[in-house]
Amino acid sequence: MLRKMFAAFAAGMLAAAAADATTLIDTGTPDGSVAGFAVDATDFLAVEFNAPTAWRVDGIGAYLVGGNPGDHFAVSLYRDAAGLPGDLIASTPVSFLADGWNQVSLLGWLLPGAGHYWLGLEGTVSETVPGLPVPDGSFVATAGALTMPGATAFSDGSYMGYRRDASIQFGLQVTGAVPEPASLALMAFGLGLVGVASARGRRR
Amino acid sequence: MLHPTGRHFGQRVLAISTLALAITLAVNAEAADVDPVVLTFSTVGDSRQDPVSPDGTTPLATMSGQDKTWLQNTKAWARIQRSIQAQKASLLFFNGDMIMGYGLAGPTKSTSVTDVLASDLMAFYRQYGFWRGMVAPAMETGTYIVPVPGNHEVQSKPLGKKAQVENENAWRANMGDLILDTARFKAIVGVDATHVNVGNNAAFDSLSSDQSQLSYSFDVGDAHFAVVNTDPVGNDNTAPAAWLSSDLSSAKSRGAQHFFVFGHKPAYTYSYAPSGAAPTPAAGLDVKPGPRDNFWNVIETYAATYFCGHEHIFNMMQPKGSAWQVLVGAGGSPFDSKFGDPSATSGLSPNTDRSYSWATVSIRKSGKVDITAYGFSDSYGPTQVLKQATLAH
Repeated sequence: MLRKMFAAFAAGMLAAAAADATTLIDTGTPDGSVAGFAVDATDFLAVEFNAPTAWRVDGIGAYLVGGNPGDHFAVSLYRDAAGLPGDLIASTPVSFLADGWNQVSLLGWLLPGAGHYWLGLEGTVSETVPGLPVPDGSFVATAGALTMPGATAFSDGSYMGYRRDASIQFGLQVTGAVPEPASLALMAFGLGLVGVASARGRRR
Repeated sequence: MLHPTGRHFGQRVLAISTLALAITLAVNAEAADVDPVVLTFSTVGDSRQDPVSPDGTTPLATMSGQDKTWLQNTKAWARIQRSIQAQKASLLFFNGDMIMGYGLAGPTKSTSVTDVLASDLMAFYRQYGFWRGMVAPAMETGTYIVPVPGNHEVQSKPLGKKAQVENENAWRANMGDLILDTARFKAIVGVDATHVNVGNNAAFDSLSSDQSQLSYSFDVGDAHFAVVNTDPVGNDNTAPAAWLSSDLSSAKSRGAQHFFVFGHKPAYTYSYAPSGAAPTPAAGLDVKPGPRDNFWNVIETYAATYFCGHEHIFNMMQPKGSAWQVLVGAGGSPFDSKFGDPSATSGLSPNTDRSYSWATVSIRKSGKVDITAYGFSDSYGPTQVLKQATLAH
């Protein structure tokens, strides 16, 4: 009984820490007025953003049309390196479901600190996911005190890798949290309690 | 040995995981079965470079030694192939002008090494060899190359821009193995090419030279593909409309549902001149309106789609409001809309006029056909979707 209460308390700590999830980037839904750009196994797109503090990225949504259900593309998070995507921080496959917003959640990616980063849309399976129409306006953040519109870049599969190109616009949503020190401490405490509960369970 | 509680926990986790996996598989299976693609093919034309008047943004002085020698726009053509392969195209129809050619692939002036090396015959074979080398990797990685003859392959400019028997023979010598290697086709595409007709059908249109492997056709499933030589010897600037009509009729009678025709020259020249300026002169089959109309009537009758090149530009049009003409002649050759010309800078012409471009076509199980045109700018920017169209079934 005591163990269950302990575990519930630990879970509550984590939930409280995660409760501040918010919209970090939202370009708005594309209006479909322009056909857009191709994303496939050789054609990648990326956008730069400026995180004023160490964000936690929980969910990413990309507005895609024209893919085949069951295809996958990847969303990748990079450090900035001289104005282009640099070292890879994290990457995850996303299943294309249907035309429109295709999302991945429960990422829990922690940015190492404030600074400039890049999010890339990349084909992981050799399938085309074309058509990223121009959003209403341009890259405009609705939250997060971003420096937007951000720079954009693309790769065409050549040896040159990512190259900056100002013409690219596409639909992107990022949700997560802007953890404050107290939240981070609470999360660490909660994780610690979960660990203790787990260890006690194993000993029994 | 696991503690009982741990075992129960493990069993629950296993059960939940299995359920989640089953749901995921079911959802994916349902999603994948909505309307799957049964065949994808791509098409593009005109990758040859020009030794005299290259594109304004790629003057000869900056062309690589490689492209000066073998007269290809390697950078654009290689990138187009990369994207086409990423799009999983099983077939790539190349709509002509893969080589500069345009001479006479005939006897050399003498048998001296100097004369042989300087001959048109050597130039043709050298340029064909380089192009075949460029497409060889595609053939090894799932894309069968289907070549279409263009005027640079079959005509001689010094001989009045007339098709020559010697050049038709050089075509067969350098492309004939592709037209059509049914065993290799099956191995690459995964399905058979059936009702293959690559013989000499010149008599249908009273043509004087052997047209085998120049105009030909085959089926893949319920899709019928026909290639037409738009510059046969003695009848330049015409498509073999009589043969095509007979060919499409036969295909329809055996159950073909989709008709795709590939030729080099457009039936209707796309005018890229800005509004108010003189229209672009006729440069395709419309040089001879009567035969052109006969050809287009066949296209309309069978609700076919006509893919072509020749003009180094992108355009999709429905000349009579129904059948599509898809012009994808910007595979690397110097753009027709010249850098700095009003057509390219006035803002009155589409900004796709100077885009290297191709089309990818997907046939779905339901019979729906999606045509998507892609391209990238003359400054080699990101790959854009230029235009999309869906053919009603």
